Amino acid sequence: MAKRPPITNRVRELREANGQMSQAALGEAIGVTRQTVIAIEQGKYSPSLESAFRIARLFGVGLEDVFGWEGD
Amino acid sequence: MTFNEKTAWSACAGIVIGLIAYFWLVATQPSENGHLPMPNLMTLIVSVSLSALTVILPLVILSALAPKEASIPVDERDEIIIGQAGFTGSFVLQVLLLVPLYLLFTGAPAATVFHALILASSAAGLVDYGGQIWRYHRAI
Repeated sequence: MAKRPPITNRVRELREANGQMSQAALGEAIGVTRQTVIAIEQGKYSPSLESAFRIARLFGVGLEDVFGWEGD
Repeated sequence: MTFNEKTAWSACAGIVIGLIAYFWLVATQPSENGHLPMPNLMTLIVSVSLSALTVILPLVILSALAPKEASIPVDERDEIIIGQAGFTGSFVLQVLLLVPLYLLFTGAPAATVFHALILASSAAGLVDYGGQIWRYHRAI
């Protein structure tokens, strides 16, 4: 089992709040595959800084509103 | 499953099929002194062709069935997975190449050295593509 990165995220919550946007649509919007979006939402993969900014900008929120450090 | 993971599966299958065909054809050739003989040209052509067909044919069919999925470029996660698996595959190849080198210096028959080279490169390929599949399943 892979060690999970200590980064939490609200991607799924924001995506669902954004008109039930699909994972495929989010992936297409930020330039990653649907499988990568799934891995990010499950906390198994931490996206690059560029993708993290793309996600935050897409939902019109700040980076810290999407990603956090586990335990904070 | 991403298209790249499907590519890795077909590459693994291609290597295994090619390897089986190679050793089956070599084993059916007449041998001397109980050693496996040197492969003839037909053996190499058949095993390489079978291997290539096993890799390419499923991908052509998959691309025809889902062209949109096949046209998606690799993303950052794919690049990391391919890079890590490639690194491991290269390392395994470098280590396994010591076997034919050892055989060469200990005076083993040329055919045995050649078979060891084929096995080393195939094993490294399996580690590379198998590693990609494994990483896709654990997310990275």
